[in-house]
Amino acid sequence: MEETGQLQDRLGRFLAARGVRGDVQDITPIVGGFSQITHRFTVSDRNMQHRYVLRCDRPGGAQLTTTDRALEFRVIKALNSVGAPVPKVHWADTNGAELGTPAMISDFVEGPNLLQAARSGHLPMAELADLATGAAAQIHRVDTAGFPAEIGTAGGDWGHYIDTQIQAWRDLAARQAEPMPVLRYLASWLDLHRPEPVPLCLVHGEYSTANLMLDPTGAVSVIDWEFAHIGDPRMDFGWCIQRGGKEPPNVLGDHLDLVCRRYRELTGMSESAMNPATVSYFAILSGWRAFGAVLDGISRFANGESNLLLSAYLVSPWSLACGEWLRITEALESAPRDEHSRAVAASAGERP
Amino acid sequence: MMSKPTTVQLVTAIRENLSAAILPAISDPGQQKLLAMIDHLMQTIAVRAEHEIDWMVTHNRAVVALAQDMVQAAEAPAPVIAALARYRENHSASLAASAVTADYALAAEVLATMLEATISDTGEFGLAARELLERDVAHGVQIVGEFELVPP
Repeated sequence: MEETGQLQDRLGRFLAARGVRGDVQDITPIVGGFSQITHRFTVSDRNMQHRYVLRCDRPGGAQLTTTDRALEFRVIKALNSVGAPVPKVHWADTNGAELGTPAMISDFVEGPNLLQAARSGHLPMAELADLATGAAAQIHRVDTAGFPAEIGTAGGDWGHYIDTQIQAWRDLAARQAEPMPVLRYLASWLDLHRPEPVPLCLVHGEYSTANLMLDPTGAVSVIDWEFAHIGDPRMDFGWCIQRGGKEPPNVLGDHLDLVCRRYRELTGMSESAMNPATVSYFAILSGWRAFGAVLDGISRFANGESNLLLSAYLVSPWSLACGEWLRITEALESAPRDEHSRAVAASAGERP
Repeated sequence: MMSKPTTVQLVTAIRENLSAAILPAISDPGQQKLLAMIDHLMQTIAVRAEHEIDWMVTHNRAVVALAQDMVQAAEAPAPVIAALARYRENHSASLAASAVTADYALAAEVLATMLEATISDTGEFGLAARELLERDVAHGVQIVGEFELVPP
């Protein structure tokens, strides 16, 4: 991203062209994300102040993932239109012609994210887990008629969806710089241990406590929709507990029984479909999406096509994730059905 | 050549100097995060310098031995036989890191085919292949050591 002064000028011109009056001030980077660059800024005039978030693509050489700001903008617009718990998005520069890089601007949520709230003791962990579960249920109930077709169609074929996810593991294995037995083992294991099907619906795709903002009213607002798609709703929980293992505390992973029970109450999903064992299956299955870009970056580094230090650094969370996934497979295979909860909870997200 | 100070000692000394002399002089949060990443990478280099040749050579031998047993027991499907043949044709006797790494990749393909062939059974070859995978992954975890994700 460019210098703050240049960005301030570009933002000023961009907003003025859309009839927004006032000075752009207090541009501050928001750290914490691995994919896009975000800045908070304020627009002030004599009568009002409004705070926004600018979400931009990283420069080409520093990109770890490649997602489409234009599609994300359309998805959030659609979410706004149905009243989903998502900050309002205002404008986008989808090709970067005005802001220097593809970007969009949303309302800033005045409050901590759930990860920060958990770390500060702002609210009891069980309450945070309950809030996260409730927000997930709200998202998964969204009627996606009128949403961008690129994210898929709700109510599709679950078996085909899972086939696609498992194939993504195999495709990932096939394009790495060296053969990776763990990828091929997990793909085969996932294929063999499919859980009970459930209806496909809108899935956030990167549901983690760092992407759940707690606004001043105590409501949850979900940010970062670049990986939204139509999928199995348990993917969001699976992602959240695998991410929580690397960014403790693991708010959902440490309360998995409670989370599953609450989600069943909110959605009517059966216990055989929504339980710690099935969620843990998705903690593995979602891994290709979590680590696909990471592994591709590592391979580019290994092949001499990149010198992005972040890619070398991310070998470590990848290695830890492999350990966690193997422990989950072992726990799911060895524990009798009624003991899955404890076995999985003990395995998911914990270090040896 | 001089083997001492060892690679591990050198890396450890570099880490200490980065931490004691360089880090306090940096005020930019982005540069501090970059230094934290570098420090973690140095930590992993120290572990790899000490162990990785031994780990990979031992792993390669164990994988090949298991595949050979599988072939002799007439339980190896074609992909395992083919991967084993590729290993035998292409592996090196050298202990240079690049040669061992290349052998490790050949052995990884042998292990992957064994794991895929035995995924749905609990026979001795499946269990042994799984154990080799777990040991290999555990080495990766050992390399990482203490870790907390530093966002960029």
